[in-house]
Amino acid sequence: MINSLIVLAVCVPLLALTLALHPQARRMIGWTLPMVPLPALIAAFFVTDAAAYRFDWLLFGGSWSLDPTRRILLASMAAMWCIGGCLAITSRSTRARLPQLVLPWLATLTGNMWLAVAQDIGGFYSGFALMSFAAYALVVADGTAASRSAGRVYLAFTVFGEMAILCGLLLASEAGASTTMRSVPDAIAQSPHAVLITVFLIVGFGVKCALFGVHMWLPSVYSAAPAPVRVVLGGAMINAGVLGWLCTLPLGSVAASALALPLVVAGLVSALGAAVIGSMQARAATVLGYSSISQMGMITVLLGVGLAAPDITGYFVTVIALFAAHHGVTKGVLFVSADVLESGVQRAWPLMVLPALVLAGAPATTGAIAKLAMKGTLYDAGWSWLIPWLTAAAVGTTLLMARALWCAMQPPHARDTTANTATALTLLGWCAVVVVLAGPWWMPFSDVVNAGVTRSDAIDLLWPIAVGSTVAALWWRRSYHGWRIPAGDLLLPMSAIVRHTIHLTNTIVTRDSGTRGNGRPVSVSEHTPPMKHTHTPIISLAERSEAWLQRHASYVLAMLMLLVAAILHITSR
Amino acid sequence: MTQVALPAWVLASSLLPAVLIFLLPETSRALRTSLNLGAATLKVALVALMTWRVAQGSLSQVRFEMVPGADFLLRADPMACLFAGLSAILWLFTTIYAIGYLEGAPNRSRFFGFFSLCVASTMGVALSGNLITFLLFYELLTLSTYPLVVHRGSEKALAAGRVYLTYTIGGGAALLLGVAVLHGLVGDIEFREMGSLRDISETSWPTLRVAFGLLIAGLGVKAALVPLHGWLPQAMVAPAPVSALLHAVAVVKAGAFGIVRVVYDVYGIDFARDLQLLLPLTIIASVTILWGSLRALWQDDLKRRLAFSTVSQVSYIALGISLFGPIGTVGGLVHLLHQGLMKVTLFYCAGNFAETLGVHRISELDGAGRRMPLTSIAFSIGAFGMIGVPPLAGFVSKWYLGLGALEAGMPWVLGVLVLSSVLNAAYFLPILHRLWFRPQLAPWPDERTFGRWETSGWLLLPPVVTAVFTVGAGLLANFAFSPLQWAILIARREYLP
Repeated sequence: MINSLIVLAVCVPLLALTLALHPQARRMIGWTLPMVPLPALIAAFFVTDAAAYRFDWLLFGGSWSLDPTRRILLASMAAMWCIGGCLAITSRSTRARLPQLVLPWLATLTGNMWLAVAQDIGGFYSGFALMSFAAYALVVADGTAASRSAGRVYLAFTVFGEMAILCGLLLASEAGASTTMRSVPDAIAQSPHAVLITVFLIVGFGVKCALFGVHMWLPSVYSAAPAPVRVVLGGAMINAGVLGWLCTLPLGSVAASALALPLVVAGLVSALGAAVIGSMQARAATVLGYSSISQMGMITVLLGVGLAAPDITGYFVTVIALFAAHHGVTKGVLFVSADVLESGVQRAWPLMVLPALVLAGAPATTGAIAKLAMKGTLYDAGWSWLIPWLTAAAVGTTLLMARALWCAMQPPHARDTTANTATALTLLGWCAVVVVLAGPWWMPFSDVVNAGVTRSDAIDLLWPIAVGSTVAALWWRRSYHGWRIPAGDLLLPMSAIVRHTIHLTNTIVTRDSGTRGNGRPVSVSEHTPPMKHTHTPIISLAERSEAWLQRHASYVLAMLMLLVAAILHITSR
Repeated sequence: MTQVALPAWVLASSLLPAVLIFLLPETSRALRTSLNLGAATLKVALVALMTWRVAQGSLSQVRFEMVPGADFLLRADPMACLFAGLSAILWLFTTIYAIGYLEGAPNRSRFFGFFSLCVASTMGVALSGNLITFLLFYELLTLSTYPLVVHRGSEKALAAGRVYLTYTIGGGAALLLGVAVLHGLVGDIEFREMGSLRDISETSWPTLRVAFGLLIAGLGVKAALVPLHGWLPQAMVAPAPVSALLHAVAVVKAGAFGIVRVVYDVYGIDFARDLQLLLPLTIIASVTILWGSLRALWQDDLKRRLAFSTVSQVSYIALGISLFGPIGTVGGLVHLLHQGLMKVTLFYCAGNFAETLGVHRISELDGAGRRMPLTSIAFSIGAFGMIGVPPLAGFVSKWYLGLGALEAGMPWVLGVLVLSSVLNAAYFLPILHRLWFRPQLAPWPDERTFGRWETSGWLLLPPVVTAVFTVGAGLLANFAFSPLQWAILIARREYLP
């Protein structure tokens, strides 16, 4: 009976989405946003691993069930969708626009839940695509120019990621002659193209997890999106990428071990670089975005280790899943707290400090347990040289948290929160903080780390926080106005390169078309009847050649026939 | 009604109404409408019955001698049911759409007469059992479509009609030549699963290659293979239901279907591979896919962009056919149906924007999603389907094409598919952005109001239904009688004796 919650986890959001298609029902459905993910949340805790639903008619054969990895991630995702839903109906940034937000919100949620339970490739990929594309509407919900340009970047990266995933899944599915997610890692491990397939999947899902190199969309999107959307982007959807990695990569086989070191290095660059760039940012949301990149860098490091270690177990995967779940929940709540502070309730600063401490890894929190578990696995796998680097990243985390707090505490430009909603917001903030602080009890950490925190562990955990805070205090006391790397770091040079390439190609084509020296583009009208919307020489070249073909269609056809006959006749000798 | 006569009944169900509609006076609107709808519904029922019987394993046929040595042959086989099923269903909705679209326009009798004739020829193309019969209906299709393309009678329409005729008659000539070459070699050629040319002595192989080239060139005109695609973007001046007919139901599909028949049922896929005919076809299809997408990118006229998109998408079918292996075959065949569903949705929607708001250009579409939500949702589903976003129909095609490419040992085709998907995203997503996320800037150029719904119910129902089909064909791909399952059935028969 309780097992049917797997089905409800997907179908309740879907049903709400269908109902919300009716304009009159939309506002009412809006108020239920916090409740819609509840079946998924309950399912994550109570549905047994044995429960599996098969839907043979669905796509290439649907199959829904949970396993420990999915359970952990589903719990954190569903919790963040609940909290995000609460914020959506209380936050100043979305309350008025709720009816417009409802449809994309529910579509994104449906996709997220679908991929969380789908054990078939078709279902997983469908859920992933639904989530990714519907989230575009959430990103641009503000309707400002900044959000529109962030949306464009998001979409470009999403399409790129989807294509990489498609290639990876196609190659894996062909290699394994199967359409289940479970068969993917083995199929990759046995394929002669293991490295290639792994690259596709790492990069494809890496777009969602802001892997170094495809992370550039994240800071600008986080800062442009409304606060509740940040909660679900940074708290839930980011972990869809992690789930994709954990389900598909050949961890524990050494088939793709060539990628281990590059991945570890990329992870370290993310973990440390994001801390540096993030602490130069001026908006809390951007800083928190860089913190996500940094944390995902640590996960990338673990993943790299997993690709090289020959005999890792389910334990290793569970540690990564727990780390991701811990980060998702903490980050989501940090976004809630930042929104509370930024709407003018500045005396509520503990709201931000407490989850910040959790993320930095203070003892007795999920952060501490996740860090210790991570350390343990690195020792076991023989990669203990990484630990100092990750400790440095922990210092960076503290720095980022301090910066985020400082940014959120800046006085708002306009106080537009009434006393009533401020109370509601603060209350929500406190509830969310309690969820984070209670993490060690409700997240299944006890299965992973049984021993309590020893004194030396506590010192190991605390000194990076102390160092980070000191650096932060020294740095910002003389309020930093120096050189800054803008949000999105590599995005700016990248788009400049794209612009210049287009310009250069156009120049070359122009020169080819007969104007030498003066560089003036050839006007189409000089050669052919004027056509509308000829922007660049490349296009006009295409237009011209097609127009020529059209005018001489009959000759072309006749010549073609002769040509075909001749070619085929000659080649067939 | 005996079993033998079923293909003839299917053909008659649009041939007879065509004649009757020509005879009806212009003013008898109610009679014409009920005749149209009745015939279309009857045809869907007949084709469904035929498909059911074929699935049971009975092949029914009609055969008589036209001239000595050339039989007229109609036959219901799985491949015929695939195309006839698509055309019958889409014809029903296109008829509904056309009735709404031409409300109050002149020359409706002529229009609907040729409309029915066009579908009758399409049914003939689908059901033809040999090359001669196929050729006959293929040419009839050309002739019956021309009056539809020039229906508006404007200067532009007449010019487009001229281009259309030049191309299609040229293509018809190539096809005729190809058929003649084959006929001279082996006599009457029946379509047979696994092909019927296998036993020909090796000395005639060069001739067979030449004939193949001629046949593909002839069919490639209608299937809009580059560089024979020039007529298709021109023909978009035709009224929206005709565009739907050209792009999804009949004309380009007849070309693609002809290629399917030639490769599988005339030459046989094994034999075509032995003759080394498949790789050139793969390359032409790949070039067409990319060229069409690239050209679509820069069009501002909505229908013109959709037309170039068709150039690209129809070649997915040729691509799948040319990939040796059952999975590629499934991909190509299933896309024959899926492309039809998705593209017809998009053209219905483009027609709705034009008829309701007077909007023809993409740059004028800002904010149309709020004014016409259902049409815009249908358009979005069609567009996402075209990009190949799961779980929609286009994804199923792309998945099988990709797997087929890998199976055939041509991983570079995967690159073509990915690049084309990216280009599809690049030219469809900006339209969706305008529909949903931009505010309306100027008043609509020519707005009409229709009471309760955002547009006339006749115009609204077809795109909504085909959009639902687009979702269903993907989401329920494993359901019995889904396009995918039917394509798998055909592929099994083509590869396993």
